[in-house]
Amino acid sequence: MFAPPTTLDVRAAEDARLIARIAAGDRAAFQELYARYSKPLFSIAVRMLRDPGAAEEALQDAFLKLWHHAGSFDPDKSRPFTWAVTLTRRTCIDHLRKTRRLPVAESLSESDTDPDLPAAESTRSSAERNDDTARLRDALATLPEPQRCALDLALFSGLTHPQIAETLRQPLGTVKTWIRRGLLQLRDTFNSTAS
Amino acid sequence: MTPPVEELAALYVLDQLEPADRQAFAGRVAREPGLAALVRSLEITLEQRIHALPQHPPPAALLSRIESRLDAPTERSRPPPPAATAFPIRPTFTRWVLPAAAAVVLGAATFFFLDRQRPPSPSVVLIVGLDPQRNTVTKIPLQNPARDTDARFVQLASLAERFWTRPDDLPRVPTAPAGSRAYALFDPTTHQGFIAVQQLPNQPADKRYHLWLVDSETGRAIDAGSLPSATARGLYFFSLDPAGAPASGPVNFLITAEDIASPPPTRPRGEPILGRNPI
Repeated sequence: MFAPPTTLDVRAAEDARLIARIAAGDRAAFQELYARYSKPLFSIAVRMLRDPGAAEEALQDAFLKLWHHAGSFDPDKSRPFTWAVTLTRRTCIDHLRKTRRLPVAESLSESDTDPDLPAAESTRSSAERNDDTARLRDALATLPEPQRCALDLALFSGLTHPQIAETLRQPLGTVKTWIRRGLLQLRDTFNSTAS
Repeated sequence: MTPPVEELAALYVLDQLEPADRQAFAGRVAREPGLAALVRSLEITLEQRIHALPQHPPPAALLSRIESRLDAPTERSRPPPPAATAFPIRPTFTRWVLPAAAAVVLGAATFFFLDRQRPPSPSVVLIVGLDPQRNTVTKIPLQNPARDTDARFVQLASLAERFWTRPDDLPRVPTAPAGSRAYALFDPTTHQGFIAVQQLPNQPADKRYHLWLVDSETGRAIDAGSLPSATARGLYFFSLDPAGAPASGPVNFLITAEDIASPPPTRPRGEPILGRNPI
């Protein structure tokens, strides 16, 4: 069973319209999408690069790509935010590659305590403002540790699956299964708490 | 939904499919409503996971910096900066500095022009056997011999991952010894590559492995970076400074054990571990 339509879908439709306007060169639409996406995308970059300066550069490059490639976005193939996340993750991986830094495989905790970082919003207060985030955190807590770890490495480390298998010292097939099951279980738990 | 479809959907959402597979799967998503619903549900989960990260606002001035670059030509289409204004010109030197500067600009422009005209290499260099005594080299074709760095990187990474997960796919070269300790891929067009090490011997704590490319025509060793200490097995990316990379021709690989305490080496000083002798 998949999630019923939610306000997220309305939001996604609005974002898709903004991207269509950006493809036509609409600066106001770009500013609006930046206002919506910049914080979560910057947070991904910080998590992947562990360097606020590099994250800032990556976010800048990602939004430039978004501006130049908005015309290639196809709402039938992907949700707008997922598309922007993919652009940002690829940009971060490029950055790791160009600076010859190996992808970050350690440090799986959520505690970004780098003193150079802008202050993160309190996780708890953020969760209280956002029921979905709170439910997601609850769902995450129910995942077996190996699945949660493998899923987060797949999302935020920039490592390929074979590299994740190497990091976790597990067979590649096992790691792929953990990632797939982790994502599916997260979805199911998230949806069950919604209903 | 069968598990393989769920697995493909998860890989698609996590952007872990190879480009051709991703394109094919995207076509299915656009055509099959059931599959689209599965993908949407996973995308929503992914998005919620991202919103659950500690949220850091970007610097306030970043948007205006980005907007100032929106109408600028992209990096690839931007012409090289003018060299003639890179240093101050004193009147007494003008007579010879200006022609010299003009020659430099002309030379740089000619090099840039010729470099753009040179067709990208349709193949990558594969070092099939990287052993203490020798390298065994072959070339393998790229499916898409484009000049674009990103497109070539994706193909290079796909090859590296394929050989890592399926070593039996490595090309058979009659002269390659069985049980090689490493193999490497190098793209001479983009000066980037991967090295996979299998069974490097243990090193003392004060040593680290260092990777070099050797221009076989000149014998010059080019720094390709350090491998993580205590590396016994792993797949690693490297890229060379284009200015120092071998222009063309055969390359060789060398791994040495360098002192951790010493400054980063500019040439091999430590004991050669792999690739001791030329091909």
